[in-house]
Amino acid sequence: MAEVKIEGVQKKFGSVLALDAINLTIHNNEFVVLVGPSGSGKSTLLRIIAGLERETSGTVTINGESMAEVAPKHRDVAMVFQSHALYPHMNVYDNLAFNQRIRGVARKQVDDKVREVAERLEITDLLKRRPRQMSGGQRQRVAIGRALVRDPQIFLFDEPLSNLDAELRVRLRTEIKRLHRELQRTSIYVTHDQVEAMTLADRVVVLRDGQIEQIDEPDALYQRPANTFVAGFIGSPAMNLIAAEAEKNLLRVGSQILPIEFDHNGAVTLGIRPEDFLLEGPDAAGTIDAQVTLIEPMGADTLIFCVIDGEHEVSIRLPRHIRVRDGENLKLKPRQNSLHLFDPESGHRLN
Amino acid sequence: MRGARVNLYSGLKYGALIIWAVFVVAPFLWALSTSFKSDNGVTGGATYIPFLEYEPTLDGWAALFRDTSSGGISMQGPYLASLIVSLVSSGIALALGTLAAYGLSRFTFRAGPLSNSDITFFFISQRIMPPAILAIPYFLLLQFTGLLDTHIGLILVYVAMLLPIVVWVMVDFFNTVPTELDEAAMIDGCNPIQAFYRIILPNCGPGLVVAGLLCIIFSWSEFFFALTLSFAKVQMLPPTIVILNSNKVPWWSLSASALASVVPLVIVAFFLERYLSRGNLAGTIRE
Repeated sequence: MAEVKIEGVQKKFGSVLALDAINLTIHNNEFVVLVGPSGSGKSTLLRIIAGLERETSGTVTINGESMAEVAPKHRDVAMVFQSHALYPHMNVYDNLAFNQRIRGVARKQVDDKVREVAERLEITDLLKRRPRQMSGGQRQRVAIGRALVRDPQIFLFDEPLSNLDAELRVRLRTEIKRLHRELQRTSIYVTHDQVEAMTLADRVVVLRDGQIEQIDEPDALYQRPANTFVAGFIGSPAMNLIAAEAEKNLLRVGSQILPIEFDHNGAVTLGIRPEDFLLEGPDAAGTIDAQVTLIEPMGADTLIFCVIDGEHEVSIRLPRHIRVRDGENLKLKPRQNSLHLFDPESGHRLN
Repeated sequence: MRGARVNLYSGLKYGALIIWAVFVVAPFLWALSTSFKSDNGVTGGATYIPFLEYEPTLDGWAALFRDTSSGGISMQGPYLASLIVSLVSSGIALALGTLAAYGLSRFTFRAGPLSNSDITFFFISQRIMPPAILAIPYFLLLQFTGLLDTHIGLILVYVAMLLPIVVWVMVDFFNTVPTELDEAAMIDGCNPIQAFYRIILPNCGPGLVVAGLLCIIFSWSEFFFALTLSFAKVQMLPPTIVILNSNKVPWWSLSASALASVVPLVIVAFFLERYLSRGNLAGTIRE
């Protein structure tokens, strides 16, 4: 049971503003992912919640209790670090047991807890090993175990999977999600990987330059990004962002014209996700012409790079059974209701 | 052709090493040989091999344990004094120095334009200064506090001398330990002191060994303060040996006492060498 409330939190390192007036409420048992490019302040925010960093101004409350004067060890949070941060001079058993021992828990109870967690994470046969005798994946598993033994109110993850290879990353990601579903604990997870953010989160918080760009559920974030930054950051390959001119219900892209269901006049940034293009026959209406410049088969689908009017680069994702040739001219039609329109100045969403 | 080149190279290499080894070991062998000689054996021309060239005697060694009144030099007192002073001062310097070094490694201190690295350099700069500058102030200070010619007085001076070494070595070591370990410990339930003793210090064993070794070497062989700040009640080993040089030099006892004074360092080096050569210095933390 834990609700974390962050109100007006600002953090300065010297004269550098790392976080600027952050307001965020994390509900009980919610899995919230903080995502953003490096330097966005996401790790700083997590460390402030952990108590490892002190906010310059603003308040952090957990269950209505101000954390201003509360040391990390009294916050009832457990943290998994990017570098695993296992104690090198202890074996796995002692690493898992350390936090219980230092809190004076009875030996028998500690032993039960450690063995239970080891079993859950399938690391029982590693209990006697030292951290340096294990692989990266095993270490990170133990680091997660160390947090689990605590049975804390809040789990904090600071890019826990970034140092692992791709296959392991996917495996542990699934495991973290399963653990959260079983344990039902408030979890805050920092990553720069938007796939991790989308797959794990109940809600995603997108940060840039110390400010929150958008807070939303993964689906909503994907379907209605609030601005061009979020649009470009979430989704892979990234959403195509094309400079265009709106005139009533028409959109001018270079020399070509697309009908839109939105009344607007003036310059806009048009956003279309690569999978939202449909390939049309030669005499279809409401299409734009694009020339294929590069084809990347990806298995399930094919990624095709094109240029519109020789200047606007777009990427298109088509099912693998649709074959195109290099240099071919395609007639593309955006899927209905799939156009995102942004203000070219502020980047804010218009439609 | 290539093989010959390699042979020449390693021949030269080992030749140089043998010359160096002889250069280092020869004085000790000479002292060893001399320590078993009698008066005549020393003054009667250069001889090296016992039983063949001269008749060995234990007189030189026996004199170490005899009172001065019966012609001996009574080494036990100075030996014990040196042992006490160097061990205690090394211990205190390690205890205080690691704390100071941890502070300098983990927390930011500011005094106007000065910050951590300046403080660290300030520590090291103590060692740049020749000790002669400090002899008179130390003398007056100890005299004023009544600590002149006492173990405690010398220990205090030695701690001041050793602290910079410990701080200097340990700051570097603590800097190689990732701060995530401190943070993990603090989230796990430690206060900063517990994080230091239970997590960080145990991972700096090699650093402690190096710092401790330097402390013992420096304090054991320290001569200048031992000579100026102690004289009657407390006599330290290095001055005692050197003073043997005064009127008629008893070369045999001088050799014996010099060899005896090296023994503790040889023992320490013997054990620590194993520890250090296990590769413990590298890769303790970084994996």
